[in-house]
Amino acid sequence: MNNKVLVIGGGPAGLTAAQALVSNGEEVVLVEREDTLGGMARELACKGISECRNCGVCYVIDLAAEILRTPGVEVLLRSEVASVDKTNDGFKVKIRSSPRYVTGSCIGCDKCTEACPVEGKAIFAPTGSGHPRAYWIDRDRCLHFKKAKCEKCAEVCPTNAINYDDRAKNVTRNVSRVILATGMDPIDAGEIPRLGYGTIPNVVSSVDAERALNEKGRLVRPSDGVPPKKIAIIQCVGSRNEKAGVQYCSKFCCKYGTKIGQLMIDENPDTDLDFYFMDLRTLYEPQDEFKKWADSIKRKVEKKKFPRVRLIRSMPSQAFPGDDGKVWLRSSGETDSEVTETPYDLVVLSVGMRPRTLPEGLARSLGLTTDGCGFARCEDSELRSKVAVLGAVCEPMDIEETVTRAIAVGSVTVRKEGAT
Amino acid sequence: MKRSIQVVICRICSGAANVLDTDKLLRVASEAPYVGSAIAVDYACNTKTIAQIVEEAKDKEIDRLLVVPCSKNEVSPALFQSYKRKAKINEFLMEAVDLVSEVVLPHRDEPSKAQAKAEAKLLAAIARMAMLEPLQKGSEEMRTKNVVIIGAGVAGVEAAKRAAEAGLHTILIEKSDKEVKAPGVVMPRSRLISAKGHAGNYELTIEAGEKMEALECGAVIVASGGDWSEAKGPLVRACPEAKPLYKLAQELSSGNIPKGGVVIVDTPDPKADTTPAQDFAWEEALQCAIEIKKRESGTDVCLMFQEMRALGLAELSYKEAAELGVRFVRYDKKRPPKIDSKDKNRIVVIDSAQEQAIAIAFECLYYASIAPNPDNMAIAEALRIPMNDSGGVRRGSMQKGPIATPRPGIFVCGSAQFPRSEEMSRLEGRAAGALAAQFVSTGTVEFGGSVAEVTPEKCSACLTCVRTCPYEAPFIGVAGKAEIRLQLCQGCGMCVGICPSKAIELHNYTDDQLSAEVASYIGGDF
Repeated sequence: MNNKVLVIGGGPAGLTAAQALVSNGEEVVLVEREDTLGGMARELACKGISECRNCGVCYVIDLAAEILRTPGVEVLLRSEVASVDKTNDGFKVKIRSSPRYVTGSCIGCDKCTEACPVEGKAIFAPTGSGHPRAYWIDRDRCLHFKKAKCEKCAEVCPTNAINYDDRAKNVTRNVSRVILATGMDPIDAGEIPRLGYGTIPNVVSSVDAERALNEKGRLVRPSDGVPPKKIAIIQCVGSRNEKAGVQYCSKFCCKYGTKIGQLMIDENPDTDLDFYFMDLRTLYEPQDEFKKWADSIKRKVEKKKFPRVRLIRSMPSQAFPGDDGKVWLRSSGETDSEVTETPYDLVVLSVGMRPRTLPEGLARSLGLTTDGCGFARCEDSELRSKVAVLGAVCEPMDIEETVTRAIAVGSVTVRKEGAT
Repeated sequence: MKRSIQVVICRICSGAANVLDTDKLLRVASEAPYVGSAIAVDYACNTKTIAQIVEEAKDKEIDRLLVVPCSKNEVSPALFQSYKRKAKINEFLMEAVDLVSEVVLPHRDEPSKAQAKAEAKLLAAIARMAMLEPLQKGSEEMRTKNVVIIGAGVAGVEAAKRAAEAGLHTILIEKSDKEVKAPGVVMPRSRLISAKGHAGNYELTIEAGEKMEALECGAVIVASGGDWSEAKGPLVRACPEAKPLYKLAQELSSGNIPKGGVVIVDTPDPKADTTPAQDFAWEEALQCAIEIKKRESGTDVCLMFQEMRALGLAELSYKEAAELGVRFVRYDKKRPPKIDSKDKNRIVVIDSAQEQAIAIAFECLYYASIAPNPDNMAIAEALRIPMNDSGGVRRGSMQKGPIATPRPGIFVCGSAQFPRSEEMSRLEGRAAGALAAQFVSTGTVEFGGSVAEVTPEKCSACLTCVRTCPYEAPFIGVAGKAEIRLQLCQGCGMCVGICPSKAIELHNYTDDQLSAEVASYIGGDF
């Protein structure tokens, strides 16, 4: 019997499902659009330099490395599902893989990028901290594929990992089941222009902040590279916002927003933090844990009585630039209507998520529908037992919940014939 | 014993070439005592280079390896593995010296100092490496394929089903005598008394009805759930008719609609002084409120809460409820709602959004939280797993995955940790069952290696180690001297540090080995 399972998406949900499936004796074809596994977690930072804060990022990254070593999982990177056709006992899947031009013997020494003569480079390290770490060449930029026939990267590569003859591949696989775990896209903070993202240099989105913390280990002001002394974190940017077309709560932003705040205080104890929020919805944690933490930071300051971490139940209405790269936020108090304007060195916008849009053909052939918010469901009575939707594409969820659900659902999908 | 160290410096990955003089480093290393071979390679993670290193090790009869890689965490596993397999070198005689994060990065701008520090570090590592002993890991068969699940609630039953699917024997322990539909053995009116043993081979003592039973199992799943019995708290004391929210849901599903105003408050104990932090069943409360409003729009429904945690798609219900005219009142923990002393059917609260006192008349009062299970404490104590501040069982770091506790082979799912929805409990139960099955089906447990060992002649059986060890590894054996249970020892060294008779040593971190390292730094004799 055909035992293969197609997993679409190599993020937390896809990776965990793949592992659960393999440990139950099934074979997995894992299709990932990007150049490495890890999904959204690739670009997220560990938020526990002093103590583990259970953000779960390291779990996903370790799992990505493990999946690559796991026999029974065929990992197809830079690949997309071209078509899915129903067969008697499952699906016939056509997958299109783009060439990488760098083989697995790449050791990530970065010599090729140094040697690359193209402005803005044509050979890159994969983004974030996913696995594998092998580089890849952007064909549209690389001079080798133009008239110049440049081979500078191949010349300097110590392991002969450059392979210009790599070609796009079409792979066909017969699978019995499909798990869709395409995940989500963070909301572009620029959609809410009043908060100045994209126009004021020291307004960053939480995705930028995570990326900076992940890659450089610290968060500085983009304008001058100085560590910020006074930070504002604004929650619910894009989430719970009908203008942005996002009526739901993205669920994980309070969790990561509070943790970024705690990390900033951990890293630099002189920092002042203002935390703007509508409702504090830290996931599966007692509701006043963060409030207690904020209070404890306040008390630690000797003699000085001003609060170091302020929790402000308010949504700033406007951000505007000031002198020395300062960002001013205009907001009203929690209960009074008095409007205050406060300067900050850095403003972090905690953006929410949107489920990734499904390609129409794929959605049709897998019997998937989307609800009013764009989350995918499989409601087709015939296909329901063969198609599972996992992770943030079916509901907003954080890494921990995603992983838990993927283990649970991964083991449901593999239920052997005859078992109850 | 022959001691011959091979020093491998990874020239390019380590980034050392830009700051450090690797040739000099190599010379220093090769002149150090016990160094049989010192080579610098370009990429220590390349297969060809690894083959070359291993070949050289075989030629020169090397028995231990010291690598200077990119960083301590990034030594290619392939290098250590082929070294272990092909050059037949004990895995405890291979170490990495992290010169990148300790020398190259912090001293990038002062190459001469960096060079001196790197040399000192390398020599110290060589001095210690020369003293190390080969160690062996032991392994033990799991004696049973049993999984014990504590609690036959939603999560526990799901966990049992999943574990049974994977071919495990499940034993469900349930404190009540309710009817349980689950595979395997179900033990009603029973509770966990104590646990001995270690991951893979736990020995539990269960009180089942009147008698005590001993049970062996490979893994334990804690699914004790929350406390569904009578709630305590000032609101329930003042209004004894107050009911938990699930009763409202039951009534609604059987078609009854409460007459008169309904107030749903997040917890009967807003100040959390008798019971620790609780959570609000947000989605259920909103669903109930919508249901009432839809069927009987004239009924006043009010939700009273400290924080409206309508997570995820529950936000849509929040909006719908607000549109249907459900009243939302947010209060502060410091100014909790009170039942009016004169009118038992009025609740008085200061609305934080308006900063004004309001009074709401009601006919039915519901509270939407469950307290942590009071049995959690006994369970956690028996299994020696930590608790969290809200009275639940604490899960381990997410690095080890979800559902796990800090102790291997013990999992926690459902509301035992923190109140969960029914759906989430079910999913967590399944996941716990799957993980326990994965754990038990390996069939063996590994232990030993760099662990503590007692020298019986020096031991005065003072019990200090027994009291200190967080893993309960030391015990006083039949000879009246301390012994270490290897399966439990994590090699943390706490007993070693605290033993007044210096009777305990941690393998590969013995006084001699550490002294050799320190002496290499500062000279002198220890």
